[in-house]
Amino acid sequence: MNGGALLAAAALPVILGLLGGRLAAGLAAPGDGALYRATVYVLGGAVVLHLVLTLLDFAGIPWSPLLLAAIGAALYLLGWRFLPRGPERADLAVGFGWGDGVALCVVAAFTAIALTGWITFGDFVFHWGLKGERFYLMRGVDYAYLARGWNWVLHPDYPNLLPEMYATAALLRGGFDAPAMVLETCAFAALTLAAVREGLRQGGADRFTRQTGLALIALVAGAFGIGYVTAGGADWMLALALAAAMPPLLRPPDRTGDFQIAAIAAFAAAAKIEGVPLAAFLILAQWARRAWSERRPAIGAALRLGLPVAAVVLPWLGRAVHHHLLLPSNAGTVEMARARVVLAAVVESIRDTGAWHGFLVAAFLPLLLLLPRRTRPFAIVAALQLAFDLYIYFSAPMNDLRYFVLSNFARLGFQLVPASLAMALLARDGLADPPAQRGVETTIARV
Amino acid sequence: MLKRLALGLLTAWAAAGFLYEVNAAVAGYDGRADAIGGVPWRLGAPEPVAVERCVGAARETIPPGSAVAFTSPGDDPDHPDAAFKRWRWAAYLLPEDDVLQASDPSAARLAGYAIACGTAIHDPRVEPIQRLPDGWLYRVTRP
Repeated sequence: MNGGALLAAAALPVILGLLGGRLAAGLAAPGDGALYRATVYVLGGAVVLHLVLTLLDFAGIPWSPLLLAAIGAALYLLGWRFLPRGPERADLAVGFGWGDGVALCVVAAFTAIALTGWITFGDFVFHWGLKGERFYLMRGVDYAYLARGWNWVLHPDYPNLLPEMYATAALLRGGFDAPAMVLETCAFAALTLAAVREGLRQGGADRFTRQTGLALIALVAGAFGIGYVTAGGADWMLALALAAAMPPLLRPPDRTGDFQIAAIAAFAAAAKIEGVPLAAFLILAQWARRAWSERRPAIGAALRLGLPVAAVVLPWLGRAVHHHLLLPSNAGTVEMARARVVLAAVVESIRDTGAWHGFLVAAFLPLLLLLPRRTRPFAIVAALQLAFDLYIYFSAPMNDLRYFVLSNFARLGFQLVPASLAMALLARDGLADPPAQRGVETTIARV
Repeated sequence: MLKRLALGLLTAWAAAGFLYEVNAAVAGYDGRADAIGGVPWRLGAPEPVAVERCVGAARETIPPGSAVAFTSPGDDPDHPDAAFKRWRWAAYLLPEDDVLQASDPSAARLAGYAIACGTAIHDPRVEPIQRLPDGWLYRVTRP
């Protein structure tokens, strides 16, 4: 690992944030805090990067650092010249508390340990990192390589945002440096906690709940992230997506919420294969809220929500079908006879996954969060995602079903836990009812 | 008050769990050279380091873009899936090449080179061209 590689890997999320910041007029609500704005900007910038690289692939143009820098600068300047500015930030007067300090310490510890390479996820070696370096060397997504018969182990059908980020960081630096690449995971971890913090704030939690809740979630996620060896993988990206969706799903549905959910959903769809159904659930939930509140089909909202996701999903699906990348082991016919084995393995995961220290059970909180009205939109999305995970267990052709569940439920559950815990804290404090019902202002919680 | 107490206790439990994991990770990293059993496949652990020594030396000889057949000793009870994992590490360490298992039916048809780590290949279709740390690099010959 060298300084240049670290600098390039650290610079990438900053560059993506600057790029996404040009979309501030759509992506920032007046009540959003600075950290949350930065979070959504990074997600938006990542989607822009993915679309640019996809376009270059379709055009047969090799990726190069100069070309990417020129395109990035051009998009930034065009956005600066032609797109409206974002709304001014409200004076939120939210101070730094002990929970913020704990969260910072967790991110720092996670980063320090991750940079040693010791908690690099096995799948970084088996596919995420290998694809990233291959794409860097080939200056593009190497579909012929992914389509080789023996490369089914690479999950060739997965969306490619994470390897693309690795390849871009390598292009910036002029070489692929594995330990430095895990800095992207550290950035996702920090942004996840920033989104959780904002969710608690916009949910109207009091200072004690905000600070203690943030500390709790940071410690739980940090323990799992370190103990279960997650650096370099994509599971943090989906945890981030769900956490970032909390504020727009807590607010009454609005146009900015459409854009935010669209960017978050497109990010999730580009990140991992189970991010595609998550994206669908997010946009359907937001669209249904818009249509319900307006008592009409809300075509404009449907377009705002659907187009960015379609721009990510359709090229991915087209390429995957064209190159025969979709694996037959992804899903099959639902077999309810598997219920006993699946449920036993899920319980075993909750009981025996040491790195969770018992908190994996929080992945099932969305079922309880369906009850309060205010947490219901989030809970519907998270519960559907949980149902999708179970659908895979009930249908994917697997020889050893127990092993299959044990090998991934702890990670799939992680995608749900940070945001679900935050929402549960809001519900616990009776903050889950709409403000009008409680007769108090909860939009912006002050110190 | 009870709600606050419950949240505080949960946070204390989470803090204990976090400190446990940090301690385990630091201790594991410090002892990585002797890591055996459940965690041999992390960056810096003996198994991957051995594969890296073997494959790294071959990388200097194999032209980029080659198809490479890889083989290593079979699994044993202490290292389930060890052969599979060595193969995936070899693929990771040779990203510019197509690395397939020597047992893959395509290998005989496609591979131009073969790497054996921790073992040797005795097959008239391959000729050894380089001694590797704990292994051999072969050129695949075809009639």
